[in-house]
Amino acid sequence: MQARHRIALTIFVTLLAMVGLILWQTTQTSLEVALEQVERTDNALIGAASHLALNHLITEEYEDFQSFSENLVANSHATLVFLVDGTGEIVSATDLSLLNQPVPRISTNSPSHRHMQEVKGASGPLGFLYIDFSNQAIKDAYDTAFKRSIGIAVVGIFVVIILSIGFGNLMSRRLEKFSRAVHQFATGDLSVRADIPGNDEIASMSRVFNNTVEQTGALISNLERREKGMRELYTNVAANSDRALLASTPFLESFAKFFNASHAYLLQFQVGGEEYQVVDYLPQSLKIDTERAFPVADALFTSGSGLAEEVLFITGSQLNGFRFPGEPQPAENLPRFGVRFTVDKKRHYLMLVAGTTRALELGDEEFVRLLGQGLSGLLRRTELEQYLSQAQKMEAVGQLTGGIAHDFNNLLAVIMGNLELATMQPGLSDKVIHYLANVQTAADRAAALIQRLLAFSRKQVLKPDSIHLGELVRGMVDMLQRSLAETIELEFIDAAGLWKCEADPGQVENAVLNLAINARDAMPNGGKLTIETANIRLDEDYTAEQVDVPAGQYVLLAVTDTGMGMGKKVLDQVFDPFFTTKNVGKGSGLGLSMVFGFVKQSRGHISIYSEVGQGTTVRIYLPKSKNSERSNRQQQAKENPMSQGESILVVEDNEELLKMTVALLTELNYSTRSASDASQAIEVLNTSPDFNLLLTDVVLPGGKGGRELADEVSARYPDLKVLYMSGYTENAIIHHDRLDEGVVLLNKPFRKDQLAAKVREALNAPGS
Amino acid sequence: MKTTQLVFLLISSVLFPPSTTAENGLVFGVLPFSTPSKIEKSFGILANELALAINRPIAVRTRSSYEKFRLALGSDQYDIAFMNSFDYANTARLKGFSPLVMFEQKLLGVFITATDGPIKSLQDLRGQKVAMAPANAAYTLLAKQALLSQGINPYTDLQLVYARTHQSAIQKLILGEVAATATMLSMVSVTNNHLRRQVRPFFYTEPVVSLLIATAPTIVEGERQLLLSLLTDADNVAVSLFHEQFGYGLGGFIPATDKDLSPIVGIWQDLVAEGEGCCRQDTELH
Repeated sequence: MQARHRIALTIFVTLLAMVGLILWQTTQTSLEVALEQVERTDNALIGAASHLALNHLITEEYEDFQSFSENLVANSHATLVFLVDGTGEIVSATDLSLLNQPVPRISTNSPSHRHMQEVKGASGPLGFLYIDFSNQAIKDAYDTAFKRSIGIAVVGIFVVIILSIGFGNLMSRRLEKFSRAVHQFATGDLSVRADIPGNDEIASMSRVFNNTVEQTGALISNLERREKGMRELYTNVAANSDRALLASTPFLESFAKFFNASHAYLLQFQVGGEEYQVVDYLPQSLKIDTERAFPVADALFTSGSGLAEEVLFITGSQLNGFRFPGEPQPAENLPRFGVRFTVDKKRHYLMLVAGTTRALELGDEEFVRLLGQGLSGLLRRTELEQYLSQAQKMEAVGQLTGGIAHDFNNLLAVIMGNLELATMQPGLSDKVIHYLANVQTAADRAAALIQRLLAFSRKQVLKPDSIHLGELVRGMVDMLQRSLAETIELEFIDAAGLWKCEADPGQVENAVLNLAINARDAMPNGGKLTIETANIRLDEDYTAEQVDVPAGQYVLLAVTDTGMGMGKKVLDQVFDPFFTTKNVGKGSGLGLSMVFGFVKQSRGHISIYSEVGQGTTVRIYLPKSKNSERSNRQQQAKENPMSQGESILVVEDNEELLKMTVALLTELNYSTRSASDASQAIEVLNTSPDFNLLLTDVVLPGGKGGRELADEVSARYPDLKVLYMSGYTENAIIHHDRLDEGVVLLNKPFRKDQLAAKVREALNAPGS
Repeated sequence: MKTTQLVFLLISSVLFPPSTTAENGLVFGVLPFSTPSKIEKSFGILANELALAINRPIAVRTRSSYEKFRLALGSDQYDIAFMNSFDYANTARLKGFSPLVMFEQKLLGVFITATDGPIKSLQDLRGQKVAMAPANAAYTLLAKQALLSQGINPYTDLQLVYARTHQSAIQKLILGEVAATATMLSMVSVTNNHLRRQVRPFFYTEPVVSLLIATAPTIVEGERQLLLSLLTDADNVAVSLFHEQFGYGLGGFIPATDKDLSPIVGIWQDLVAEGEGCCRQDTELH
């Protein structure tokens, strides 16, 4: 029996049972109603007759009642009416033979049924009224109910048959459609779709089926693409097997693309108790040029990921005994070479640049299977790569902004210096002075912006100090409270026994202020801002899942608001420079980026947790201070220190900046000479060695930088003090983001007072 | 006793056999002043109380008309009867009924005419149309006797117009079909108050006994005393209830004697002398 027949039969039986039930109930109800109607009619007639009988029993005149009774018999289903008086005699009867007779009995099989009503007056019973009614009315009621039931049954069964066939066809049509699609899919047709509209189970099943077909199609397409890639790979390898490592680069790229990853997937294994992860295979027939292999590996992993701290070249002898997962024993001892690089001093990765050909000889399926086995142990890799991707992005943006900042600083230095010189010119009108002041203000703001970009790109020069985070924040509470709206409650919870941490206090203040302002903007309707400090130890488990976060002791600064929170999409971009959710003109998009850069540059760690509608917590982990007594903070000079007759050699390749700097120094009464590069400076010194100070740009053209120049001349002229200028600190005088001991640096751009202060600081510094 | 009365009583005894009552039971015949069921409702309670007093069942019976009632009254149908005084005078008295109790209030008839009409006295009615209740009604008889007492022959000196009810008779006056109407006194205020028509009484009849209960010779003296005692007991609940339901405002029952009924007997005899009860039956009913 086909499905539609079964469905139709099921519906038919179900509906038939329902119709039968309804029919039975309807018949019962109909019969009850009809019988009630007969009963009511009987009662109404005998009630009326009884009322009339009362009068006649009182008057003892029965002629009218006789007429009434005969009319009743003639015009209703009453067959006999008779009235019995108080003595028990029939005083009126439609059957005259009954007069003065006893009350006749009525048999059970009589075609009538009898009603008897006592006729009662105020003084008591006056008599009895009897009316026999024909049973025909009851029969008629039964007949009517039965005929009605038969009619309903006929119509009901007809409707049930129609509905059964209709519903059966409707449901089976959808099932058959789905069944055809499944059969078509089973024959390999991936274009088939079961388009069944609606929200029922069949429609839902069809949607799942369609989705499955689509996924199957995509999967098969992907497999076909992989197969094609593998075949091309083999072809390339075979065709280029004698080109040594140079041929490996496209091989690696193909391999990486083949697995659709931005970085090579790694296979994990252990050698000598250390954990390795294989990033690629190369056919053993390649001739290995180790001199070339090293930079390739370095470029691929060090510059690509930014993670590697150590890169070692290892030989095949160190790989003795190693086999890939599932790899059979090789027939001969083939040479193996690899590049190991280390991340966080504990995770080691190995790129084999030469090795066994077993992997390729295994065939497509086995090769993929083995690779899959290796990948299965690296589930965490995906997560790590996300961090890696973010870190790379931040690194790239940082490099870009850092480069731009360098050029801007040089330009700004020229603008600001010339502005100050212009301002000092006599005879300027008030209007001109006003205009120049406006330009100065804009230049200052530009310089501040550049500083923030540098902070993000981690190219600012920090002045780290051992600071007590709690005391620093407590000193900001009043200022913060004023900055926040009255509707925002500020709570500061300072942990007892808080360690000191290593950070630039000015940058910490900036970070706290930035976070507080972000929190304020996230709570337009008020809320609570909580700033907490705590001692925290980040263990290996935690840091293993982070990028560039060493385990150790940190001081935590947590800033929590009860604002609107952020979704994942916003969170993914929250540290991106110039990313902001605020309206145009309300935020630069550099606040959190600057905090991120500062924290990273301070060897710290930052995390952000947010839930939409609940609030946001930003946690900054600053490394615990190793020297709690150290304090490098210096008092800023209050006035521009002037020359005390000293002479200065200024070395700067930017001609305009050189002129401006010389002009400013002249204003400060210093005698100056200038040079555009290191060789020219050395020539000047050779002819005039009596300079007190060498003011040099760190980056100079001609192969010799400012640091090399200073080192060279300092050796020859020990009394010559050195002051560096730089707008971009990615250079030799700064290591680990800090100035070398004894180095004094003037950040570009600078104003006259800053120049004066730094020159004086350098001149007063102890001799080298 | 006149011949006509004897014939009437003879016919009555043939047409109406004795009432069907229980053995030893009595029949309480009631003037058909209302529907049988209403009469039974009013008098049933009273009959039950009387039956308890004399320890004999009493069934209330009435008839469908005054005539049939009078015929039943004259044919020994009733042991106790509630009747008007003229029924006593012309029928019950002749069958040996003895007055037991009567209503305290007397029957007082009145002649009325339109307020602004020219009729001032009964004499002005000569040649005029005068409306009255049915011919045998007590008020009609009273009115006729009043006319006779004024030397006016009601059958020849004026034109009698009989109506089915007192209200109908007054209606004729209001519509101007008659010059005057003889009716009961209470109808004057009813007409003026409820019909918003002003009518004016211009002659009152002599007050006579209105309605009474009399017993047939089948009731022995001891039973009569018990019945009299009960019916005149104002504190008896059944009697009070009867008066309340009866509702014609005729006061309570007081003992009645032949002397109380002698004026009405005299009136009846005067009327009979003029042919009443024989050949002066009502000829026009409206």
